[in-house]
Amino acid sequence: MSRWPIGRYLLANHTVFLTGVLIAVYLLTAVLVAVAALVTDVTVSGVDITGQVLQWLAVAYGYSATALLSTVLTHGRTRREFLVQHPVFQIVTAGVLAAVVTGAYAVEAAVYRAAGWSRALQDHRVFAVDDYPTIFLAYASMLAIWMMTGAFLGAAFYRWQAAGAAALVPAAIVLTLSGGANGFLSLPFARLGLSSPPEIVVVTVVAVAAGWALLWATLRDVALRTRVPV
Amino acid sequence: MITTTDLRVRYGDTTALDCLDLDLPAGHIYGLLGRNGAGKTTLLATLAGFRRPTAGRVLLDGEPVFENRRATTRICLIRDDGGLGDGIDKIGDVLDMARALRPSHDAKYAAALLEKFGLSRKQSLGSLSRGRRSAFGIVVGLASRAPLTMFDEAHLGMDAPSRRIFADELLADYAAHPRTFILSTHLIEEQSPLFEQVLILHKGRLLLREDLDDLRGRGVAVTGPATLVDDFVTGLTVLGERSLGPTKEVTVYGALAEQDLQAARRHGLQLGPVAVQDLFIHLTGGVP
Repeated sequence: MSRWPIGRYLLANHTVFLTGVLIAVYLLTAVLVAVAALVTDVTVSGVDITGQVLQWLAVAYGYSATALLSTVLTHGRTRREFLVQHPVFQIVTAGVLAAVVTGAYAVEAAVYRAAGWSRALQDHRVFAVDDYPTIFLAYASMLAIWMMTGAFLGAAFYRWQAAGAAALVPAAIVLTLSGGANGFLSLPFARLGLSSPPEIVVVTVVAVAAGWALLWATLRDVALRTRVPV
Repeated sequence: MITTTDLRVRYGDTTALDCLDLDLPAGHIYGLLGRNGAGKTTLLATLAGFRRPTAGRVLLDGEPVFENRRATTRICLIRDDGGLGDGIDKIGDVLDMARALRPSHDAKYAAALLEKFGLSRKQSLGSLSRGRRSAFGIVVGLASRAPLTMFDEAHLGMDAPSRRIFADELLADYAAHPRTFILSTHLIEEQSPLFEQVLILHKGRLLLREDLDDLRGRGVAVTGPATLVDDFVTGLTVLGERSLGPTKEVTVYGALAEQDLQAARRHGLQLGPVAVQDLFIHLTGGVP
């Protein structure tokens, strides 16, 4: 039996699957941009518009983590193992997916240049259209924070059911404050001027650590739900 | 050996398990019986580390179970709701995960069991009927080869042939790879032949723990002409009765005295083992 079996399994299966899904999303984006180009001038970055969806996909995927906990426990592993290995898997996966996104921006730049199209980004992005290191950093930050927050929300609703809605408050705080730094869900009152790469790194580390701590506190001794047989 | 000491589990004001002391030596098949709400599912969940006890201890070979992978990797609990994945998960993916996470999982045996139950690695859990989903839970549980394997109503929805496969496989694999099984079931008559020892939980407490043969010796089934049988059991504690034409079978509680045995022989009445289900109903309060 290998060390870190949960993390290894997730990296070998879920990370590969999520990467494939992301590539498929960008292929679909390319098709939509091509169709749009037939009827109008292309002036915005399709990859950047797609970025608005990714954060919600990330939080939804994170939300499903608790269902995975049930399976992991059924196969004889512990909550502690899960709570160490699953967040690490999420962080590594955020990095892998951010690399795919960055690659998509680069490919799009070449295509747009060849077609003579212009590329405007969404408002409040913290990177320029050709600033690839910051593109990678911003997306890695967003994906890591939103997946972790989603995992916390899923855990809270699993443990406390309807009362788990109280978890929306700390989750919203984490997402809005970090959004002011990485540019995703960037709300005016949360823009604290912390958008340089080092500041994004610090905010990301703090937000992920906060989400991890909340997740740990929620799941460390949670009982698997018992459905009473009828 | 699995041991519980002063085990208590409460859900708010409800006491599910109360001061439960158990020591179950390894290498046996235990039947866990109890009425709805008796605490069976809670006990199994606590033994598996799915739930932390409110008080008391659970040990597997001296090791605490809760959040201790040295113990939990040697325990497998398959519940009636499966708990093996989402509807979109493929059977093959779930088995690959089992192989990755559980040291004792036997992939070849799992593949053989899939074939016996008519399942395919490509099927998704959501596409399976209730019974076939239960059969897949049986596959995961048996192939886990966990030293302590527990099934909590894991046969729900399975048809009779599939339940027969389950029973046959369990006994065959138990003979080939001796380990401890705990089977919780309401199909008492069908599954009791599998049990070596019977545990009856009632209102969160252990009401009875007895070898199956000894338990069956707690009563007698009397069969013969209806009028003779009715006369014979007068004054005895009747657990249940069935009639087929002029023939009647009455189950009575308690061992018969020597003169009763002689009287039965004299009148040509047949005496046989009692149905465990009848004893169970009687011991847990009877039918209102």
